[in-house]
Amino acid sequence: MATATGAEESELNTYWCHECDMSVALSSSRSSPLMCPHCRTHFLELMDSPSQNDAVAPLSSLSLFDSPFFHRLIHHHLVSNSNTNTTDSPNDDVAFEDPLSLLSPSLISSKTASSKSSATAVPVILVTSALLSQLDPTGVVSCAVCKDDIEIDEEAKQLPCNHLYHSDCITPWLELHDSCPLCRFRLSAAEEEAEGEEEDGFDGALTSSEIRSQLRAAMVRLSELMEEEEDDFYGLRTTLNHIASRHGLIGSNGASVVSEEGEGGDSENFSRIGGGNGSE
Amino acid sequence: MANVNVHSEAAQDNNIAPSKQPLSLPKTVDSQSVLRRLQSELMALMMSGDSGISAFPEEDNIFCWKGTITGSKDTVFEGTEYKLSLSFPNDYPFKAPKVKFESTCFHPNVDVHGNICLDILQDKWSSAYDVRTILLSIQSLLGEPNISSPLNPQAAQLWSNQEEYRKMVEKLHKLPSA
Repeated sequence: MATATGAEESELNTYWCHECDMSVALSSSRSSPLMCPHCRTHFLELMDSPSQNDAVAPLSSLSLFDSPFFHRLIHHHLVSNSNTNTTDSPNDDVAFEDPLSLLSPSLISSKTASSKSSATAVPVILVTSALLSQLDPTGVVSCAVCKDDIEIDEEAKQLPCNHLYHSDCITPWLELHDSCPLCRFRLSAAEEEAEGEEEDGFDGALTSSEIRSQLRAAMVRLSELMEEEEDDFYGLRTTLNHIASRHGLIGSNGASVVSEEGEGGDSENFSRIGGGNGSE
Repeated sequence: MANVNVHSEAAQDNNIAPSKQPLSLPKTVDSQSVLRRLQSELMALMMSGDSGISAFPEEDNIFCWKGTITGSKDTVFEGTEYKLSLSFPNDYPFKAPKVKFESTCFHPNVDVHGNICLDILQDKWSSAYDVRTILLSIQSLLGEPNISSPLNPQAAQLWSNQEEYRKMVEKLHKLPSA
């Protein structure tokens, strides 16, 4: 088994697909003509071949970057960034929420709240006089849990049914029950609806955790490769910069927006690759 | 029972300064908010001036109240008065108080011990309910019983004969408290 795997990997070559503007890793030993797995065209160019000595690790990382999921992630990131209310690709939301935070946590903050439990899903707000007068012409709104009036600048939660409570008052209730004390509006009803929409479109080729771990590993390598200033690591940096700038992830000066450090195992894996590169 | 006296002291100190609260309570913060809520309810109940319902804490324990309701006009309970007890849990208003008739009440949804079968006191409890709304609900339950799941089958059976029912109510109402 081990030798068979090794032989197969040594025959992998990196090609540039001029249609997709990205690199793809393909096996050259196939009898069928080479074809880009993404656009199904043959406009491929063999890229500078990596040294066969330490081919295994870099090739495996290349295949991660060539993963269609990676490109969908970047695409989705930009789509969701430019139009936060879009339902264009709801299938990506579940799987890609975590890796997105590796790229830019601020962009997804608005999305995360809806996937938490009822008790914590409702955001805490600071009461304003505008809110109070909106809820009641006299501007006097009392909390149905403690029966005290809700004052300006107090921390409060407004449920989807618009009923307003002190944050500290409604949270224990929502931990025990799933409804508004005043009108019995069910919070999970709204949530289930939203989650159902998200899950319906998921094609499920890989489990979300598999995609997550692949993307995380890819992100770690990407971030570290971006820091390599001296060598163009097998042309990989140029390739990645090209992909990233094409997708608008980084500026034209090549400044990276990927800042997240990876987990221990991934960093260790990379340092082995980086070491091999430096010695050559 | 030691807690009972502690609660009472806490209630009296509550208006002056929260720092004076005794620290011997198991859940000091929770108990304070329960006390505040019960005091707020007492104020509101006294200000509301609802006719036919009243309630007040027992002398030594703000967690135990005594309430009264009178039968509504144009029902078989018109002119009768019933005593009830309300016992508030430590996590009130997140849990419902235990409410019982202390007077004998001949009613399809009240058993011989005074236990009441009323959804808002069980699974339909909401922290938005309070003493006032509980008593108003029980008052309206008197005239509009749920016959299909009676605690007192005899009362449920007799309900269709309002004249006979009224006689039974009057007869039992004269009896001393259970």
